[in-house]
Amino acid sequence: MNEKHAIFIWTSYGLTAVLLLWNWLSPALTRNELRRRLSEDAPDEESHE
Amino acid sequence: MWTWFHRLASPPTFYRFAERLAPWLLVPGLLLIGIAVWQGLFVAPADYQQGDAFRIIYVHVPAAALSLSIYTAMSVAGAIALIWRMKLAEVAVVTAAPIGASFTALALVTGMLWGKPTWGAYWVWDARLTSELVLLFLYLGVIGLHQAYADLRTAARACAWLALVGVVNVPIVHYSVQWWNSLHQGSTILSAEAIANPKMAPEMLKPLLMSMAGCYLFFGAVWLRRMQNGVLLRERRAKWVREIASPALPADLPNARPPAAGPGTARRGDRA
Repeated sequence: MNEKHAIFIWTSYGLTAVLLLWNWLSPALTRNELRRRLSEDAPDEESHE
Repeated sequence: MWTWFHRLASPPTFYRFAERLAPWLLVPGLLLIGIAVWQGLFVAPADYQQGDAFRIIYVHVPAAALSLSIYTAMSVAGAIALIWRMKLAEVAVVTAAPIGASFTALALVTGMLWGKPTWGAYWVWDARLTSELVLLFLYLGVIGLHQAYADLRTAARACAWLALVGVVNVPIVHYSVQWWNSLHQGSTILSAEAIANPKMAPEMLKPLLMSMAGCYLFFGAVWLRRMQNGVLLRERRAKWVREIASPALPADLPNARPPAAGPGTARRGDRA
């Protein structure tokens, strides 16, 4: 690969990898957060019942 | 067929359908992207004019195509949400926006990285680049609008309006290279002329098609996952969510006991 262009090419592919990883992990992290928050809300709800 | 669609519009049916479908999109999508990246970097020959810099096409074009497709999908979902008041369509609009924004930003940045060795400049106020930047602002507008309202349904309906109005920019982006004198090259594969008479050599075209197919499958999988989160938030008081989220079941789901707010009421900070 031409060294002059390598930095542009590898940066592009690196950024793409980061974006794919973020898009992949983000829903899973959100779901974990959702689970934590809703499970914290559960005892409050039970105490009102 | 229509019965099946109607059933799919039901949140619990959609949730279970998405749970099954997402891995079937994600795994082939990542495999296709992996093969395309390997072929694009190491197998495809260098371009006779641009040299190795053309290899950025394998990440730039799929990102740009997705940026337009996602916004179009959002506008269709927005129309359905506004006309038929379908909750799932509202969820679809707001959950697609962050994915679309990320791919639009990637298209812009990889375009800049391709532009420097090819045009000698990272950025020019060209019709294609400018309209793509406007598309990014539209995505950010949808995300911002969603954050601005305390009630999720009101927020989603506002987002649906913006998605619907903003879709006018999609043909502008696509046809900008034909309508105006542009530094940006014309469509390589996404035009009738290019399909009838391919402009790329097959060994260059194959990784591009694989990369595009992989990115679309990947988008499908992550969109379904985000929509599942959105559905869980909205339906957290529903019996089916409680059943799925029962601690007795080892399912990977939130323990969805409803918060103190009223049925279907969404609060600020509850975002998918």
